Amino acid sequence: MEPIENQKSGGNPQKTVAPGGIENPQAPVLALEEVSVTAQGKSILNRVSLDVQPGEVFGILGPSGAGKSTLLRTINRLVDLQPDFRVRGRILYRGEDILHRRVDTDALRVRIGMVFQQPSVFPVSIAENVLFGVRRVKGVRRSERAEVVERALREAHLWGELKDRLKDSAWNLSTGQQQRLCLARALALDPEMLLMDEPTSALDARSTEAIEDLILGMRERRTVLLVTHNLEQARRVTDRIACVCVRDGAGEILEQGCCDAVFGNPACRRLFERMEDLETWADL
Amino acid sequence: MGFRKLGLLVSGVMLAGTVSPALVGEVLRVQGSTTVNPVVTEALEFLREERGIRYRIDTLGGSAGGIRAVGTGAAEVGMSSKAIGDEDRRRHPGFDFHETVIAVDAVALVVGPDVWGAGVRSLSREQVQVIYERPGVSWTEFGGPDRRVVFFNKEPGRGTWSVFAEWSYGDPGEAPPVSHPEVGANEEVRTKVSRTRGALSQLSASWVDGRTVFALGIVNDSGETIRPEGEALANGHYPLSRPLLLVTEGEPEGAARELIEFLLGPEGQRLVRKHGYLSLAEAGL
Amino acid sequence: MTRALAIEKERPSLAGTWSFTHDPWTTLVWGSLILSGGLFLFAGATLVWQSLPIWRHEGWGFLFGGEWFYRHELFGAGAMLYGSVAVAAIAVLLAVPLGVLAAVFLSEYLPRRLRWGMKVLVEALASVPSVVYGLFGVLVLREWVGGAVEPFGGWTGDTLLTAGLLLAVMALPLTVTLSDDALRGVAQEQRVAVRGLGLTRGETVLLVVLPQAWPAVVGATLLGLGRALGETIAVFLVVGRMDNQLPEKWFSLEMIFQPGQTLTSKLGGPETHLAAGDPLHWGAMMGLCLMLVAITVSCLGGARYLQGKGRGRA
Ligand SMILES: Nc1ncnc2c1ncn2[C@@H]1O[C@H](COP(=O)(O)OP(=O)(O)OP(=O)(O)O)[C@@H](O)[C@H]1O
Ligand SMILES: [Mg+2]
Repeated sequence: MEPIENQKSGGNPQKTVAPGGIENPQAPVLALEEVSVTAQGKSILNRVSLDVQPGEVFGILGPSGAGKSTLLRTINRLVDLQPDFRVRGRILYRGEDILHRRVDTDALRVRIGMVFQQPSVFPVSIAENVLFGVRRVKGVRRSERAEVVERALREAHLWGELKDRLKDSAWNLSTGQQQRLCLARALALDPEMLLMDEPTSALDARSTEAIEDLILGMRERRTVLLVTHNLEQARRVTDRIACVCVRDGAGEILEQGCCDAVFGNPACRRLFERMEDLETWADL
Repeated sequence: MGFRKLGLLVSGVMLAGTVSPALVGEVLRVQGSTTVNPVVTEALEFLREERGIRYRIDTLGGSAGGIRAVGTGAAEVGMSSKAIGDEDRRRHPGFDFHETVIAVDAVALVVGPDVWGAGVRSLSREQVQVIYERPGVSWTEFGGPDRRVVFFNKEPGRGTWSVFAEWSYGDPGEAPPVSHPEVGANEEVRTKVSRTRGALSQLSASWVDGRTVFALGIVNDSGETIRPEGEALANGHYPLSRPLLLVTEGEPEGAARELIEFLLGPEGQRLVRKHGYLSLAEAGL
Repeated sequence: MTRALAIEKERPSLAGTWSFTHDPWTTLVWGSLILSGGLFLFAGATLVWQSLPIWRHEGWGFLFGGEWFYRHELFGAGAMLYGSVAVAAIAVLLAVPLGVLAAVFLSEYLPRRLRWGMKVLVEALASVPSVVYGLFGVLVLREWVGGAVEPFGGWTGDTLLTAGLLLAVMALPLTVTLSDDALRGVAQEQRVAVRGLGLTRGETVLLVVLPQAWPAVVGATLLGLGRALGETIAVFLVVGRMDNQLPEKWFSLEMIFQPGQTLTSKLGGPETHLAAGDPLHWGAMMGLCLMLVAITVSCLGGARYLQGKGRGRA
């Protein structure tokens, strides 16, 4: 495997190891060891440890404010952009500690893509949005552009809807389409791992279904970390989940494992029931 | 109108007997020449402390501005470095301008250290006309360094400029239509002349310090060089000199009168000398 | 509260006559609108009215004529128009790239705490009175320019270039803080989204932040330009105030290395006082005022338009 430091400057960011860690299914692709995050001295995540297997869909559940988004941003080092955030512990990605100072974070983010809670498309055309990252990071020949756009849009279940509007501004799309466009944008970079932060929380039922299909389609090819509020969604698409709770103001892992095990844990069940209650209340 | 004026006069006379005019609350407004301004400001400051006169002074528009301010009633006292001309009287027909000479000023042609250092000491009227009419002429024509004469023309409306134009062309209106960079206040002239190579400009002699700017002598028609110093100033031999005067409407009254009497007295004349102008006694007036 | 009451009171008559007098707020708003509009129109009309003699005397030649000798009744504002445009152009060409670069540095690279301090400093610089800048111009800038223009045929430090440089220095703080505001106005989510794709900070600035902030930055520039054109004292001290410096060819650069005159330096000079009482000369000065107002107002209008456009997109 290529060291991450050289990813971008090396000019060949293609993966050298097949995704999914077929060689050794037992070795986690991502391992968090006692990761703590503080913001302005205030603890947000406390000693979080996780193992994510290659090619699985790993769900993260927990109440609002538990630090789920922060956890994802720590994994691709987007926390670096937030002033006064401190991260301690180790995050091993394919055996390499990505919290190390010398890690090329831009190259890391190419390999670990992210989709945010709120879609934010760029004020350019739909095709340009898809190509936005990939043409700069990997370089796309003019003749290949159409193909890259089509492949990414197909994977994001958008091709049928948008194939005739590729030159239109992306700002006129519906929220659901914008979210899937963000996904296509991330997929165009062909990331090994995808961090998805409540990708369906702002969407209607049909868009949600499209995105869930998409996640299931990616399984085995990419590792997915999916933050969700929705227990049903977790049951439908994830292989294993971790339950995050808040203790003394900071997020902690209460339990992790396969869905049934976590849902069977009485403490987790109480937590989930409270979350569902809250959501029902919020819906009213 | 007539009645109101009469009423004011009567009450003024009645008050004058009992209260000093300063206590009536009138503010004495003084406006005009930057050349006269330092003397008058110091005199007014003295009068404020000693006799409680209230005043406001500014140099908007130079001499012309001061004369106009008196003519329009915007000020009680105008400061001017030139006598009231026909043009002023034409602008304010029937107005009773009253002039009081308080000192005499001389306009020097000044150069910076480089030109002075190169040995230029004097210019004749003809040479000055050449400089005025041929922008870009070199100092070599006047015994100076091989460098363009940078003539900073004192802006129109300033007493200094009128003195210069009257001497070189007989009348400001006769000055030929040539454009030069212009300068205004005396500080500006001194700064720019001392800091521009090849500079020449007109400046009140009292502002010449012989350190940053140097006064040239004037070669008169009979070939003698007259410097703006000592005897030549006192006897009016130096051609570019002018009276400094205060302008009022009719005989000065009240605070204006106090100011003028103070300036004509021994203390006022000491102030005049202190600011580098010729006292009336020195000028033989 | 008053508003609600007023609406209620008005409700019955809504279908019928237009009776804004019943609503004190509407009356107030309309009243002040009419008043300020009226004042503006009155000022404009006065300028036009008082400048009539010069238009009758010179016609359109007044705008572009190259000769101004008031004692000979020659009034051509061409050299001053040229001077103003040249000075403003120099100022903008320098202040905008520098200002935007500084703003990018402030907004995108500086740590938050330092950024706050710098911002205060820059805004303090923006509020320094122009006389101070004028003195800086006379004592430092004209000296420096005086030496620099000699190879280009210059012979004094009082030049259009000096005035342009000084205005650039004066406009810089405003350009920096307004551009910084414009850059800050770009949603943080956009930046995070770009970084999430593995693009660098520089790419984020070039590809997303600047393009989105651009209309507002241009608006800020025009605002600065409007100020630059209206600025008097500082320009007055270093521009040289030399009349009739119109280049033979409009786009030749030789004249910027020489003393010149701008609309403001002329209006700030003694001729404004000298002209009083002479309808033609006064008319000429009012004509200069009218030109200055027209140019400044169109700059400000352009700025508002572009800023509005920027907001519409965001
Ligand atoms: N910039 C910041 N400075 C300080 N505290 C922050 C900052 N950003 C987030 N936090 C805090 O960190 C905690 C975790 O936030 P985070 O957004 O990770 O929660 P979350 O689990 O994603 O919640 P949600 O389900 O609502 O998205 C919250 O208590 C939040 O207030
Ligand atoms: Mg979140």
